[in-house]
Amino acid sequence: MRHSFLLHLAALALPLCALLGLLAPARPCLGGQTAAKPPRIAGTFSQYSFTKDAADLDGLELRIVPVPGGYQAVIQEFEREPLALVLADVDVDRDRVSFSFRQPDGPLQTFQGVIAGDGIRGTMRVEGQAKPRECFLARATGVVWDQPVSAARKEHTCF
Amino acid sequence: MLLTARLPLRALTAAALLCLLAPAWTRAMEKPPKITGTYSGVSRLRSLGEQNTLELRIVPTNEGYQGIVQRFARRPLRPSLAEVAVDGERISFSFSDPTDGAIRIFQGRIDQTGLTGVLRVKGRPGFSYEYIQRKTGTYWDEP
Repeated sequence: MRHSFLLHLAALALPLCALLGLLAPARPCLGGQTAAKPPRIAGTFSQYSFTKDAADLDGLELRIVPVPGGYQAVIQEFEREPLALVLADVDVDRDRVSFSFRQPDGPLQTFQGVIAGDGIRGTMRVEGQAKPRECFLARATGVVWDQPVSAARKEHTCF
Repeated sequence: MLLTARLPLRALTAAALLCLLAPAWTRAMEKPPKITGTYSGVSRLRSLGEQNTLELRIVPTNEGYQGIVQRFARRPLRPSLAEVAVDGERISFSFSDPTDGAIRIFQGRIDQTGLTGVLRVKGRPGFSYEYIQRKTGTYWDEP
């Protein structure tokens, strides 16, 4: 009698477990919500290249830091020489980031992009230029100034 | 006979001169410290809520050295741009803190390991000793 009760219990439990196993991976998506972790916003991002003679640097370095009330970016552009640092407020909407800045006496530049684990992919619009520039700023640990010059050049060969 | 007696004396004088001049010569031949880089007093071993320190990045620009400072006063504050002055191993920078509007001045020395010096608030008495270690990347660069 007791033996058959246990058999019944096992017969009921097995399909229930199988059903749970099938539904478990889909559970986070129920109700239209994904369980994906939002990307880490803070960090250093860069896109630069040494010029063909490896004497100069072109590109952009961006560091996003959390501040009270949101995020701020520290930007340094390279146009064959390192330009002055610029601070900008960053708008963040989940994985979308945007910010605007201008060099002293320079045109307004607006970046809009999507942030992921490996970096930010987006476009840079420069005031007065019709076509936006597509760019990918790779997530990095530190900036070019944190490394010895020889190491930085080896890592970022010109393209 | 006289020559042989004088020889050790000359050698001794030369050796003494060498001993006196060698340290100065070594100092003169030392490489100047690398100025650019990231310096941070933030410790990963303690929670940010317990830390009063700062992070500094010094970069060269077309107008000399420039710095960006982020202070941590139990939470990360808004960064400020800083003007950096370097004279050999002596370094100073000042920045206007957006949080309280005060001007903070750091004066100290730089070497391969970091910055050591004092941080003052302009117009207020007192100062704090700071050691800001040279690092690769900031607190925010690591997961």
